[in-house]
Amino acid sequence: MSYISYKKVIQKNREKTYIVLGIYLFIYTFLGLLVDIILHDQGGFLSTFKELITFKVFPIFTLSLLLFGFLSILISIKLFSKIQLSGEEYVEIKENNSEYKYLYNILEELKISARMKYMPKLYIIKADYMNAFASGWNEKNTLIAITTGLLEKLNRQEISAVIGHELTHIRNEDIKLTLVIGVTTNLMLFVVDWIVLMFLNGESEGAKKAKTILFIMHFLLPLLTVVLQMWLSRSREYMADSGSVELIRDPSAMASALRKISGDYKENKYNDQNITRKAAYIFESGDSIFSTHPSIKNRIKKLIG
Amino acid sequence: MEYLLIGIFLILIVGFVISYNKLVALKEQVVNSEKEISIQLDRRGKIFDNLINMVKKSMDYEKTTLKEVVELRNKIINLDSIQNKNEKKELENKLSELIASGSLNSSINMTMEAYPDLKANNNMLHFQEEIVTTENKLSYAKQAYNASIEEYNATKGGMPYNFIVSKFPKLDETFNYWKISEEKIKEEEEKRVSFD
Repeated sequence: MSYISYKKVIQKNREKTYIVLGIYLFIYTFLGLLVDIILHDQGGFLSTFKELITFKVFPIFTLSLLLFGFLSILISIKLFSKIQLSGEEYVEIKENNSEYKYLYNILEELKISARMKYMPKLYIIKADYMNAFASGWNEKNTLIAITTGLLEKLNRQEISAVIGHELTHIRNEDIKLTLVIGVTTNLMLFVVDWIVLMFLNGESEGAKKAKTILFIMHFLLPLLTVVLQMWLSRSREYMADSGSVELIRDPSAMASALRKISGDYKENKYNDQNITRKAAYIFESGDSIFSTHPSIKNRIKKLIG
Repeated sequence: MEYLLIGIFLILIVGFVISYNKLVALKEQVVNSEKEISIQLDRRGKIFDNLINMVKKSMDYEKTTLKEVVELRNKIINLDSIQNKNEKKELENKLSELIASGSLNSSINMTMEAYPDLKANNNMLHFQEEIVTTENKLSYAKQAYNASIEEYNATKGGMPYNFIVSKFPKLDETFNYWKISEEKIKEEEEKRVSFD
């Protein structure tokens, strides 16, 4: 597979991301408007809808919801990185570390290839299972963590591929994306929660129709958001694999790393580990629309055909 | 009606500013990436000078590949001027080839086996990793340099950037991709064809 094809993969997945973000924004705003229709409690469904959109009736709930979502995201940013590293024994690897100097070197090599301005913080997690993840909100405070299990079983080139994969997640702002979608989903699910629906009652034709739609959303939304999130997550994983190849120009290294990792998981039963990190890992077993990662078979196929 | 015209005008101005700034940023990225190559070459030079100094004290390196390294390093240091940019580049590429062929690595291995006091030296142990990583960083720096030229050229050639560049010619610069010379490519191809 040529270098140019990797750019195509990245472009296609970028488009998928915009589609999902668009759908999210639409549903979020639509939910807000439904509640506003019930709160307004006058007139028909479509007429009230039009009035809200044109601001003839002030859509107070919708705007509050958007503002609240925005603030929630900001707060989550502050707490995010602390959660990611919790629960494990981790050690920071600095430039003067002699045992893991080669790992620091690999990260620095890829930082040059990626033309990044700042060096991410590097951590190793003392654990037998093979995995790696990246975290951090903006360029200045990113981190990459790798398990000792992975370091022991992969060669230098394969480790480079794994780090390339994680760095690509950082470059593509996947961590931001996951956070925004996560917070938005939770807020949406709250709006259609039973407790909220109990308090939303209206007599007008519009209000009754809106309530029915919210009721249907209560059942539909959880399934829809999970499917969308997982679809997006898998798409970003393909992008991260391609991005890794773009950085190290060696598709076979990534493919062989994936093979070794999946083989290792087949042989050993590991207990996890931090559930909030699942989407940030380089590997997750399973192959369905509910999987955060595509199957190893598909990932290898995309890499080397 | 006037508001519409003003609106369109404002959008054009904003679009122009964004595009202009993007071109400036991309051009700067090319210049900066080229510097990274120099940084890595410098680094490699220092590492080799250290290696040679360390080894000189313990052994007669003339019989190993290190001799070639010393010769190349001396040529490069003495050539340090802007006129000899191409010559210097060819010499640095020769040094890269030496490393890639693995003969330098095996020389270092043999040295460490034959000279236990060198082997015990911590710096010596780290040398192979240092050479590998510096060579990788150099390759990636060249790769990144080429990638930024590609990005700059591709953007510059498209709309509406090509229009802006024609009106502001100082945004337009031609950069040459980092590659080995034509003669070198021929030499490499011929190597593979012969069965000697």
